[in-house]
Amino acid sequence: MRNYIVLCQKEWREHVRNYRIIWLPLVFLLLGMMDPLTYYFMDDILKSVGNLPDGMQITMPDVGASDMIVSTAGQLQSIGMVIFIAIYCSAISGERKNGTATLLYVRPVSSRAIFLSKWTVAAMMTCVGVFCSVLASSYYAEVLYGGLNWQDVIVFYILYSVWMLVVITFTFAMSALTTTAIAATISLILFVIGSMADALIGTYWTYSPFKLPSYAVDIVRGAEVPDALWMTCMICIALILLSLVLGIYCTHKNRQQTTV
Amino acid sequence: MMDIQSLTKVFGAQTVVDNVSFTLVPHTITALIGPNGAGKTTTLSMLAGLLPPTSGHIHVEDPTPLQQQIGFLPQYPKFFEWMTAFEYVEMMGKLSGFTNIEAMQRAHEVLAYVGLLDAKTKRIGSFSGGMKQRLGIAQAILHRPKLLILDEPVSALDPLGRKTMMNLLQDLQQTTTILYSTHILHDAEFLAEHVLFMKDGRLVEQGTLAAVQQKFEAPHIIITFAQADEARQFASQSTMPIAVDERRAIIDVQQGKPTMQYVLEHLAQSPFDIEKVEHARLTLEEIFVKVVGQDA
Repeated sequence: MRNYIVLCQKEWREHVRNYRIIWLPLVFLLLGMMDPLTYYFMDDILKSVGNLPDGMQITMPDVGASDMIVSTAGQLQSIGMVIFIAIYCSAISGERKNGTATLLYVRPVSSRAIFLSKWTVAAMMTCVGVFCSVLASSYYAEVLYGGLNWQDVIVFYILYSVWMLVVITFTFAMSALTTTAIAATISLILFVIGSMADALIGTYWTYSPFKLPSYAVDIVRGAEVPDALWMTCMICIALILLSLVLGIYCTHKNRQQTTV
Repeated sequence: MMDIQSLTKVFGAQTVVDNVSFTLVPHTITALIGPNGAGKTTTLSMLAGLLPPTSGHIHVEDPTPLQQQIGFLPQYPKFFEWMTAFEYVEMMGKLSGFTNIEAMQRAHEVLAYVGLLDAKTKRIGSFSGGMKQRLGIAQAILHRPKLLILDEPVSALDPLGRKTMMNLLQDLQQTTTILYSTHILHDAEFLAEHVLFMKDGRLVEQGTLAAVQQKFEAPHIIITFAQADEARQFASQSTMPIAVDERRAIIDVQQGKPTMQYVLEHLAQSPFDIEKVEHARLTLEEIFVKVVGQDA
């Protein structure tokens, strides 16, 4: 337990030293405020860009505050997810590859402490990142459009964070299992392509971890809470736990692959 | 201290370490000598607990976990470069089971010991190769291990850094047992009491440095005279087969003859000015070439 805390401090220090605690929230703030602002000022943007043929008519769809959150969810699903996978695909494999793990592995430090300390700080950063996006998005949505149901936004935030935790925990497990490049590839294919596939042909099934983001979006839209939500949540949490166990096991098993 | 029996490591079809057995004597420095690719690093990694052996036993007298007893320094130690030297050593101290206060004090102690106290608040990323190597020693001796395992600790250093490192090792010998690999034989000759020669994964020769040297002692008696013509005169007057090289008369010893006694008696009656009479000894480097083969 003490080693876990010591290693958490080390992880935190690394996040501070490489400025990740600054740029990551900033990126996600930008990601969150982008959609409400562009939607709201779309008319002006089109006018100032010009080059539209005379007499062309554009009808803007009638959008409300909740649509902004929905649209931000789309950004998180693509750019946000890629950012998280890119940052954390080397979490375990990177230190193994560059040899910094070697001097940890010759000490009485458990693989569980090594894996969980890294995951804890990463999970925190993930929740902070998603929070920044949702906060920025809902702030501008409320200011520009108004009438946001904050309770729904909070539920959306919690559900979406759980989904993002599935993504990074799985990425962590892959990082422990293989090399950085393979971990990144597997995670990207599984989550980015998987989400697309689920959106396209997902109507045929109701229980799928990929559906958690869309159920979260449903809630923000004010639609009825889908019956499958709880089951999907349980599946996601089970996936997180499974990935943690797999990650710890692989960290331990691959100790000997460290560069000496 | 440590008893290694039939240690073997197989990677796929390749046997990297083949049936290696030796014993480490407490408070001695043992040098593991061999050409590149002989299996030195693999052997040391197994002893440090980084690699599980394919077969064989590593027996330690003390029942406490091996990781508490061993300090390990890899050939190219890699640190978290964004940490300062002090933060790094302090963290390693905590991970080795020191309390926060102990870890802090001990970090000071070891950094002072390796001469890095002035640089303790600098980022490791800005360190030179020699400083990193010394930091590596600092983290290896941090938890007062009984056995220090060092992989090529001096090979990558400049002459000055090498000298500092060798002085450190000599000093450390008083409190710990040291096993280190090297291919710089001059240093091994200077430091080590025991040598292990490794080639193609096998131990080809082992023992105390003196014993190994004696075993490979060239059958020569060399007499050094004060002047070169004395050596020539001595050679011409003698019945023994003598080669002359400047001031040195080199006597070939075949089947134990002539003996040193015989030569000394012979010399005692001669009028020449003698500086030195000796059995020729091969340097470790010459033994290395002999043991490890022509391709080395």
